[in-house]
Amino acid sequence: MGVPFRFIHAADLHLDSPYKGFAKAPQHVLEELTASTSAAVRRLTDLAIDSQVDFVVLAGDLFDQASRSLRSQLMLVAEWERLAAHNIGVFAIYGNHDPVEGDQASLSLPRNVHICKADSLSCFPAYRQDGELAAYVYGISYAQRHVYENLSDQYVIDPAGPFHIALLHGTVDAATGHDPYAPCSLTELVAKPFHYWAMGHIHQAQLLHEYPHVVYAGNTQGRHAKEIGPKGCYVVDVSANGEIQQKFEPLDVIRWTEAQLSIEGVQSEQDLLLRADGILDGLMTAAEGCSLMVRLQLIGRGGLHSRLIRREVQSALLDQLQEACVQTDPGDPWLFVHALEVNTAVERDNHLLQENGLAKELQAIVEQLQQDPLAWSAFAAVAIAPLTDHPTLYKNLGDEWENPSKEWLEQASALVLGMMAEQME
Amino acid sequence: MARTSISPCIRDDGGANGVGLSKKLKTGSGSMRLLDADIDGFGRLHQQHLSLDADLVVVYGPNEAGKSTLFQYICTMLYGFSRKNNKNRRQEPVFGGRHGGRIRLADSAGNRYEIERYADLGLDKLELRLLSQAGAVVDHKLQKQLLTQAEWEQQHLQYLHEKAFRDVMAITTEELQQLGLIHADELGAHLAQAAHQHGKLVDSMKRSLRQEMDQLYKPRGTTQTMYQTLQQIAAVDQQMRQRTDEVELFNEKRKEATNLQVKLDQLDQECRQTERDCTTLEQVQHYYLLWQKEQREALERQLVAITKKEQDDSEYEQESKEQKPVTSFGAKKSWYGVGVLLLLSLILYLIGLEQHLMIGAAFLLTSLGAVSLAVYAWMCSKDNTNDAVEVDEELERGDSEEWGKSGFGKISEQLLDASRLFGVGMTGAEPEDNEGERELFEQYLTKHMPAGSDSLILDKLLEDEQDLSMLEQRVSEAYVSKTRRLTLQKQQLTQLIERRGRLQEQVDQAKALSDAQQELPGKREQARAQLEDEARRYAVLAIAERLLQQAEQQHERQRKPAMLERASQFLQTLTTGRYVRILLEEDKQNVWLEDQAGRTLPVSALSKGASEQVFLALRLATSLELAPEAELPLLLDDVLVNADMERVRGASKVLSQISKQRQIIYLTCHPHIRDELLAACSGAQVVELSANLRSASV
Repeated sequence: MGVPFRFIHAADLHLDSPYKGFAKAPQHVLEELTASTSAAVRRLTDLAIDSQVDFVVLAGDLFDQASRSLRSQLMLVAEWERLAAHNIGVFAIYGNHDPVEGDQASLSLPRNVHICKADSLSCFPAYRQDGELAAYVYGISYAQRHVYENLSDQYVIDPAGPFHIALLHGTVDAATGHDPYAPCSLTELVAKPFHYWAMGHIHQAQLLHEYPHVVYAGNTQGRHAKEIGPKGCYVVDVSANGEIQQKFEPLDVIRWTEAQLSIEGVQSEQDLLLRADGILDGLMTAAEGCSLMVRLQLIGRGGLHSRLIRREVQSALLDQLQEACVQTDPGDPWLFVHALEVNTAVERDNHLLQENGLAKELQAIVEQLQQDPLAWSAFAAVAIAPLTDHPTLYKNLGDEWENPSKEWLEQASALVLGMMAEQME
Repeated sequence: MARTSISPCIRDDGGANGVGLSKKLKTGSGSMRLLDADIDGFGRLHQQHLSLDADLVVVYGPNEAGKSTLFQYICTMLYGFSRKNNKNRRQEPVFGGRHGGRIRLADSAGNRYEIERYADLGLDKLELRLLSQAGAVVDHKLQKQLLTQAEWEQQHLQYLHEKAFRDVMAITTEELQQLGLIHADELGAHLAQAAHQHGKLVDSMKRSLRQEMDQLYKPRGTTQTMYQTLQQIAAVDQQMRQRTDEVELFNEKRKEATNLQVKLDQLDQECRQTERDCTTLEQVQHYYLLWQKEQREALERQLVAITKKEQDDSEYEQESKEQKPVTSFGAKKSWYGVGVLLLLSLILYLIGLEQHLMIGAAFLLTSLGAVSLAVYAWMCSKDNTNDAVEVDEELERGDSEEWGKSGFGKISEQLLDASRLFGVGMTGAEPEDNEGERELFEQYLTKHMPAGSDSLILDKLLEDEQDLSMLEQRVSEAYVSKTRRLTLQKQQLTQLIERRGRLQEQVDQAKALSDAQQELPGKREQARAQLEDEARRYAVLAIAERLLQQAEQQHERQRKPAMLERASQFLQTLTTGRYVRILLEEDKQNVWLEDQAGRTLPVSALSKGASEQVFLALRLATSLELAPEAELPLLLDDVLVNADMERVRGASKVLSQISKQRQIIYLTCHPHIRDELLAACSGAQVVELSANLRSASV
């Protein structure tokens, strides 16, 4: 068959992503978050050079928005020039976030870079460092943001190639949580004579099929609280007889993660902070040198609940946790608790739940609302009307405000019961 | 906080009485009764034993006797010590003794306990011992429990918290005094709240919810947190609207820079051309003058020579013949040297200019140099043509490889031309024929300027101008205009270079702008996240408020009828039948009374004493329904102080009635109230505290 070669499969660099979802952070955290997607791309270049890959394929969404920042475009070209200096080819498609029609600076790309066209399938030969033909790389870029047709239909191999790598930015079997752009089915992909489908669009790395390989590389850097865990790329080794071995390599410089802490048996806020420290230390040790953005959830039932329902107590705790985030030396990894979520409840054996008439009444109402979505919507709508009636305010609130979350009901009921418990002590 | 575990033998096998303590208590009926108190040291009380084992205990004593202290002691034994900063409740011993003591009580099932608390053991720790029916400690080792307050409340007080106990189970003179301070219009609402089981609690909860909500957001408020966050978002939005598209700017400036560079290159070319033209013109001018000068000098010299020859022809002939070769040789040498030097310096100067122009200029100079030589040679040839040949030969010998034959090889021709030119001048024939002269000069120039020379300017001038003197004038004019043009072009060039610099700066600015604008979306997200955070909190608070409201309404709707029925009965007995019913106006939070005759009147119309009695009736009724299973004693602190004898009597009946179900501890300093209570209630017992505390101990 062909010759052995090595390549990197990455996708969804999302350069220019703004940080999202938290209100305050130290300056160094904000700066590093802003720079994180770029930093991951630099690590990608380093990895490609260090592991002596023959070429790199990028399966779309190099930029977060169609309007790409000049800074990132210059940075990306600089990185590609570094790859060019090492004779490493780059093959890329544009995805829904960075369609071809987006703002592009008039920059000349290094000759090692090959960007697929938008109107039809592009095919480029990819060479090993020693000049031997390794594979053919195919791909179609998005012309504009919304592509709902099945692009995979257009993918046809050129039989002259020794190994066929397809770059496709799209949704396999209607994955949830992502816009269903360029939908296709795994069955369709597998049926085609390609050897490796280098997929982009879904931000969670996953291997959907082997021989042919259908692989999502995930994004290279988590960007908000929902993109949890290590992010990076695959280094893929293809042997002379076409065997594929792939290894996930993290590239992220900042990792988003979650931790839970039960308040059961916790006597005081100091005690709670002490336990939190223990958990956070553990996270830091396991972070492989990454900085961490942590959402800490307080869970469980305990006497501390009636304190925790108070906003000033929550803020004070979060402040304490955040104060610990100091960076002694620039470049050192840090840990920042960006959110403290209080999902605690009063102790199960609290007399309130069984004995107090008012508390019992309250629980009955909550239970009834939980079982009746319509009643809950009506109930919540009245309560939050002062907010939703304010046009500017409403415009700035998220989708959840159209369908008030039942979490709020639980939190509100925990709040009232906690207050009662506190008042009666 | 250390939690000492409860001894398993008590929990599991029920100990001496064969029943689990906590279980028995919970499921029992009848009320809890205080039996006696052993005070070690508590406020002004010291080493006292007080028997409290009665349905209605009337604690009687003058002011300062320690009635309030006893009240605090009972609360402390049930709920633990208060913190040091609450002196009124903590009651550090004034007359010595260990801060604390014991109290004995019987639960509703008839089990007897002894509670022991000392402040030095912790604020909320107690030791609980099970007693035999006779009151003796059953078995110290087995029956002793160390409990936390939480465990105690959970197991024996039906979870009734201290706050609830103090708020509801104890009715104090302060509450009555407060009633007196309330405006008549608000009395109804106040009484309605007294009728409210959780009135104080719900009110304070609502208040704290509302307070936080109001800090976060008010529909038209501008000082609230959320309004300020909105303002922040608006500010960032404004910045984002104003921001320039840095990529567009970059591309635009880049394109502009490219176009500018083209213009700049073009202008630079033109500038160089003008420069060259200037040089050419300058040289033509220079050598034209030189040529004229030489011509004049030659003519003068010739005139001198001719005159001389005519005068001294014969006498100097021989001498001249001898000297001529020497002179000829010297002149030859010097002219040759001048020519070569001129050529060399000009060639060096012209290096770097384009090749053909250089050659052209070289020829021009060569020709001019040659002309000078020719003039001299012609002068000599007047005497000796051999000398001229010699000069020619000499020049030909000096011909170096560098200059090539083309340059000096033409010297003879030049000589001929020059001879002819000057010959014409010398023949005496009138040199009026300017055209001839111009032609000769032109020939002379064109001959030595290679075809297609860059000095088009000169070609054009030559073409246009027929007259040599006019030509010369035109050359000088052209030179002036070209020089002026050169200055202009150089200025333009400088401007363009500056503009290029500015453009580069702008390109750099676009990059910097990209860096700066990079932060805007993040900043916006940050402000939005904060708003979302605050709004979410507001939503939770608003939902909580609504839940509380509904729960309260529901709860009150269920309990109120029974409570009001009971309160009405109390009021009827208290007022010896004058008022028969208490009516609660739910929405307006007002209380009305119905009298014997069936008339209703608002409480605002009542006297101070009467409104106190309505309050007492409502408070007693709500107290009785609180924690019904625990049935803790009621503590009344001189609540009948403003009642007349008849009402005291009526109230005594009510209390006697209640004391059948609930133990009542009534504190008073008024003998008539003490006596009325004793008279009304068969199970009443007096505990007398005297101002002299030590003698009062039993």
